[in-house]
Amino acid sequence: MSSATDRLSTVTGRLDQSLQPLANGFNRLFGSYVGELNGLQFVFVFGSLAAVVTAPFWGTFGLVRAMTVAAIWAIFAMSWDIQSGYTGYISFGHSVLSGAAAYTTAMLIHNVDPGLPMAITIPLSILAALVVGLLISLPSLRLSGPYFSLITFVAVLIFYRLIPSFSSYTGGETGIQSVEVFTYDPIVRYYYMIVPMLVIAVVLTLIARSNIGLILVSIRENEAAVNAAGIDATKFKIFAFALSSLPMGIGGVLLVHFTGGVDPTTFIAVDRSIEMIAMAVLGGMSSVLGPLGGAFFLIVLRDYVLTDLAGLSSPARWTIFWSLVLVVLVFARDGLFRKLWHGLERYGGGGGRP
Amino acid sequence: MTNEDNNTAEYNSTGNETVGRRTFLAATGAATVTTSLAGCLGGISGGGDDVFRIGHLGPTELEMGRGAERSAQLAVDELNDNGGILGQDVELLSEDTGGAPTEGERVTENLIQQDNVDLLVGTFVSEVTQGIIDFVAEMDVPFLITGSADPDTITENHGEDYDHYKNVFRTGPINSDLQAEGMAGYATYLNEEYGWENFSILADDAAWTTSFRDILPTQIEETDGLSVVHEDRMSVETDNFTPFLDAADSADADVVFRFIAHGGAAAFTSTWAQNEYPFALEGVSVPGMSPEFWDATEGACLYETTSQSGAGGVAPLTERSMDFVDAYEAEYGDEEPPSKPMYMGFNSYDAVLFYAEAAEAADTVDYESDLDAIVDAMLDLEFTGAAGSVSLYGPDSEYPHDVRETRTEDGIISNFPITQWQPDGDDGVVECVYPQADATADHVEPEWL
Repeated sequence: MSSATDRLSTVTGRLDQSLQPLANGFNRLFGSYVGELNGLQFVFVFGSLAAVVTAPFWGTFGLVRAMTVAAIWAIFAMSWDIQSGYTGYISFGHSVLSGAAAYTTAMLIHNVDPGLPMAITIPLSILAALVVGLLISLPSLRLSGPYFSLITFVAVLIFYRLIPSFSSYTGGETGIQSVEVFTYDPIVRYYYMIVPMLVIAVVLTLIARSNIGLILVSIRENEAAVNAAGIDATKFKIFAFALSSLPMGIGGVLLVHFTGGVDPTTFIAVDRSIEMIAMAVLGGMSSVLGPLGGAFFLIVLRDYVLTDLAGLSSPARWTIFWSLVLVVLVFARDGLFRKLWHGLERYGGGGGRP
Repeated sequence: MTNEDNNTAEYNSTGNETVGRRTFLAATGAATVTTSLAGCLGGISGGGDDVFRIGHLGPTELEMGRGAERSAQLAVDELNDNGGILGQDVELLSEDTGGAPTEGERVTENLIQQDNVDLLVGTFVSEVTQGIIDFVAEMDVPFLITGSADPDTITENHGEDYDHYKNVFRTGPINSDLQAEGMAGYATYLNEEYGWENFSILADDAAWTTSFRDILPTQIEETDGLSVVHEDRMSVETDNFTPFLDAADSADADVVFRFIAHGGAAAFTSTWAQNEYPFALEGVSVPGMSPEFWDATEGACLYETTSQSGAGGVAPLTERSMDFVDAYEAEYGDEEPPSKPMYMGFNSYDAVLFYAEAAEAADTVDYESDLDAIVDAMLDLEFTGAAGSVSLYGPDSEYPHDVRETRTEDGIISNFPITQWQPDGDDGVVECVYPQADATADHVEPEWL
């Protein structure tokens, strides 16, 4: 096995060597902010980026639509990860944050004024996600261990039940379907979702690579030590939740203007939170590109490969979806993309860590 | 990935390498090869050809959707046997909406953008219809609703921006407002037959039941001596119906009109029958329309009724009805349920043939340039389908592009007949009991009343 790896490494190593100078150019400019890449990693990141950005020009309709949805879910998965993946405080309640934004948009249009411009509804909706995020995090973050996760879990259940209770405002179990979509043009719509996703990915990467990211990871590793060092861990945990709420709100707004409506099952149900977690875990927790890759992998698999290509029914699709997550949890606990990343590092030889 | 654990934060590039020309070329080549290779895949848009494609939308994992899909296929086969539509072969593409708005949107976009369908038929859940209607209106593809009955779909769209929504029609069932009127007429009939006076209305918390909650009580009470003594709405997740039935009982109801479209209907029926509640069970029950509902409830559905276009496939509503039901049973009778088309099957079959006839009259199926001609032909068409005669309300009416109700000589709405499960030896059988013109048997009251 190891000799095969060695033999492959001699080929890939040489390829990496030839690509290394390009990566070096990147490393010189951005390495201190986002980390250093070897040649293979550079090609992987920028090849993927090029593929994502140009998708409408080569993809079929079904694939591009799946990638459009994946962009929104990538935002959710990255947002979940910057809080849960980095601090280790696993939240089961993130769907409430996107749901808060989506419901705010829909309810403003439905109950206040159908003519409200997006310039008003969008900021208010993102703000709502932040407020709800703080509402959930303030009582729960003083707790530790499994209690935090339980509280976030219960928060979803409460919000899910609140919606039918106020059905004259929320549209009840069937939701509100009168939200205007951004556009029906599949190409333009794609960029409406991809651009915010890329911006959020860059911003979150910068934050994660900064001292803030370091503190969040330290909280996961040893919270007592963080407190002992004179840093208020609770403050940073709340900050992480707030930080996570903003992109969750943006994603919620994108999703509501993508589907043209809200309903509790699509936006609030705990299944949606678990899907975010699945994407982050499958891609690789506590990284930014991992959840992003995980979201694209799972959504394209579910909405394109298993449906358009394989023609499977909805229950079969979900069964495969969750089985795959299970397999990854058992065999590649660090996530598929991290495995791939380290593989590129290993096969590339130089560049990254030894 | 670039920051899996913050261990790589140190910066150790020497910063002095220069990029050689060769390596630069190799690298940029590798980076762009995927994009340039893929450039020839054709992208998003497709092209037209000589096949007329019909996209069918429905929850095809449920009996209702499966019956509708098969019925649409029967109509397509019939068209192809007779030379297609304007000489074009007809092909049916069926998609499962899963009964969910988001999935409905996904499959509808695929049908229109990728498969270039020339006609859309279907949708069962009203929320799914509402979820796709703006998109369908934008794309101008003719869309014939065959399952959902929510009147807002028409009044809030065509009523406000007719030109935008003029490609959308409902060829059946009649909308819930009209269904409510039909139900009020039925209440009068029950009163004349049995002297029942007190009515309870229990409705799913869903868009299609709004009319039954808002309009039906007033309409029932317009008849002298009738009153609505109890009303409630049930969450679609409800599985314990005892409180609702108990409340109807304490309110002294003679009849419970229940409007229910989800899986809990069997539990509802069983609770009613096992406890022998002292009222008749009437109204609309979508699961109760299944030809296999007798087995599903182990006979507990005896005496319950439901309204359904097509009358369960047991009554010769038009000269077409029984031929269609026979063709369905010959083709699918031995396969998985439903063994009869069910109401959406009737409407889907009629919709396909209705459109074909309108297209022949308009002499075009090119909705992109001749939508007005197609719309005019449809509005002018008087069509006899399997469920009844289909003609549409015009642009200036209260329900533009919605199917008109048909009425008997006494003014009773006749294209939403009522069927009842009646005893047949040890088994049960569906009979059409109302309106009397179409009835195959008399209404029977539960033996414990």
